[in-house]
Amino acid sequence: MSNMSNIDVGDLAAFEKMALKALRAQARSETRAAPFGRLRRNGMDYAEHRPYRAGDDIRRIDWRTSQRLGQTYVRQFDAEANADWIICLDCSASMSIDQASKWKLGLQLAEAFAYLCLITGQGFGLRVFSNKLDLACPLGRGHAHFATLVALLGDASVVRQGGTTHFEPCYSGTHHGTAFIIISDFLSAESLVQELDLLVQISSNTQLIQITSPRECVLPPKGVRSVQDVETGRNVSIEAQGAEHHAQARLALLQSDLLDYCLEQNIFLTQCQSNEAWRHVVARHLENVLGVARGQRVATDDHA
Amino acid sequence: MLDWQNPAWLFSLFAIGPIWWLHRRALMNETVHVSAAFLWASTIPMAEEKKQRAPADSMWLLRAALFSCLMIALANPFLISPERAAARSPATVIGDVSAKDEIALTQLSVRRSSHESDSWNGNLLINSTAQQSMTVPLTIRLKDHVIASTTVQLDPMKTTLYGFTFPNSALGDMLSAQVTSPDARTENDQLQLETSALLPVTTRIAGDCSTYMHAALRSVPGLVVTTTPNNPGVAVICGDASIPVGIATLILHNTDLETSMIAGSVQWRKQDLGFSDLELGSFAVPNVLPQSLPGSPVLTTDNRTLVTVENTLPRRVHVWFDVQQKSLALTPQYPILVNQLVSLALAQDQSDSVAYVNRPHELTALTPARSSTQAPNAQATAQHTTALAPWLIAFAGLLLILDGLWHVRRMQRRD
Repeated sequence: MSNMSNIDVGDLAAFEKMALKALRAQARSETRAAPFGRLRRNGMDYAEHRPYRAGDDIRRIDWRTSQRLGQTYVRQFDAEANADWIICLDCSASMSIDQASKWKLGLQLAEAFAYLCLITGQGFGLRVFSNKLDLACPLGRGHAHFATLVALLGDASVVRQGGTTHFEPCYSGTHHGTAFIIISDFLSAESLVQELDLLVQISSNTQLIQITSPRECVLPPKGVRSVQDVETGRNVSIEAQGAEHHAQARLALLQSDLLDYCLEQNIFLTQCQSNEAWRHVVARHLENVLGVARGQRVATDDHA
Repeated sequence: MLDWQNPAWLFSLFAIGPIWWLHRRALMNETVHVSAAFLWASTIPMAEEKKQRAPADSMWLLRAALFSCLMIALANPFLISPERAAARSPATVIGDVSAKDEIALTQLSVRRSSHESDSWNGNLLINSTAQQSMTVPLTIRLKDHVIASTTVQLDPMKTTLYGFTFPNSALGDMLSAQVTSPDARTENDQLQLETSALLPVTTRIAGDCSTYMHAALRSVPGLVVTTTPNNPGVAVICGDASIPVGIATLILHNTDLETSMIAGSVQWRKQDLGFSDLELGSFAVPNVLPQSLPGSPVLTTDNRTLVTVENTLPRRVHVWFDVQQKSLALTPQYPILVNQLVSLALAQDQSDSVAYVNRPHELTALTPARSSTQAPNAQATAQHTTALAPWLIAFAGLLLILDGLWHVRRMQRRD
């Protein structure tokens, strides 16, 4: 393991046990596994159905199921389920707030998800991005590749000022069907929905980890009359009373909107805070992904 | 430029602190970096919000007060320090606010008369700050001898020149001028001038000096020519005569070597006595001179040094050509040349000696005090404040440093 790892080796071993246990339980309970819910399989065995997305091969449309359910479904096979995962880590300046706690957790999560791909035998790559691609590790497999990725994460740094969040560097140059895990705070004045739409269209699976700081909307006790966006440089004067409460409400609304969008688009979203332990976040995400997949599976069977 | 006695400057100094505090809004307008400014979008537009004042901060008020204390403590010694009070205030401040008229003798000068060889001319400048013309009695004495006793008409707010003449024989004692006026400061009513520096210098001639040289020396106004060795001021040595020690000496060396005539193109190197423009006609100069000439060159021509001076005290001037030759002695500039050589040896111009004494203008200006009892009180306050000033400065400085450190620490914690 690389010395530059953001995660302790002991923690990683414990995480492996926990993840394998969950995945095996998932494998035993389900005939067909959901994303991450699959141990190594080879070949082109049928894996699952999923709603049709723009760009999907029309030969894979299951016409019978689509007619029965009233919505276009495509078949997904093992080769797709064992997809290549690109782990995208946001390094824009907003991640540097609160002593870069979001960035530090993001580094740990990126490494943990790469390790998860490693132990499940899936390909993985890395993209560190803001409004441009700051660092990239191509797709690969195996322990050597994981060590390379960890070393690159060690070299990565967060932008201290400027660098707004845009997802275009994440999917630019990737092939159709690539799966994405995006780790970001998803705090942007501009609408990220359109960019996420594009990402969903070309990806086989999209999963989001939203990290926010518990001090995101906390100001120093007194003396503050305006705030400045670290990314855009925009200055906003704040009211003396209730400014923090107002900002907290808007943040909650923003998170709620993102959650609604993800539910609508079948995107797995896990929201966490920067003071959480990375293992808890990954466990919660796995639980989220496996639970949703199981529920979705059951719902599909019911429809069938 | 800064004058702490000017109330405007003092007020400006004091106002810096309060102004600093009054502008606290800009200083307190601290900006905090956040992930997303749109979360903080205020219902108050930025432009309108700018018009609002920030709430008062007691810390900034404390800083402003400390700054004012520090500045006043620093300014007080400049304002009314005892040294300044001794140097300036007692000499200029008068107790009676109604006594604004002052008659002051500002300059007394003496110069040799240009048209009477046995007399001297004196000038006296009298300055009046009175609002109306007035007549004052004036007496001029040379030691105990009264030279002039008259009344002078003085114009209001003007300087009047009074000229007088006295004989050469009376020179050498203290010349004094005095007016009698009922003004506040009697020390401005008198001026004294020492005239001994204007006495003629006794010149002893030794050796084989020509009649031309004798005549030329006698024509120099400030010289008395003698051949006796009685305490002369300057000695002129012609040829191989013995050179005296301890007095200024002009040595005319024998130049019986082969000579050749030159015409003009001489260059004076010594600028300090101001005779660099003297043109000489044609005269003979030796073709060969000694290898090493003592002193620095004064007069040169065609790479030959004709006059040198040893910069010792008293000076010795060496002339390395026949300065008594007839072709040169009959020219009009010959007496001037001799005068310049003697002046060079004496290190002072003998042709036009001027002695004078001035009283600085600030010593004659009046600044009436507000009341007859305020000056001593102000001095007492100055002494009291000056004693406290170092403690005030140290205390204010310490508090400001502590406050700065606390502020930096708070900023670091915030980051």
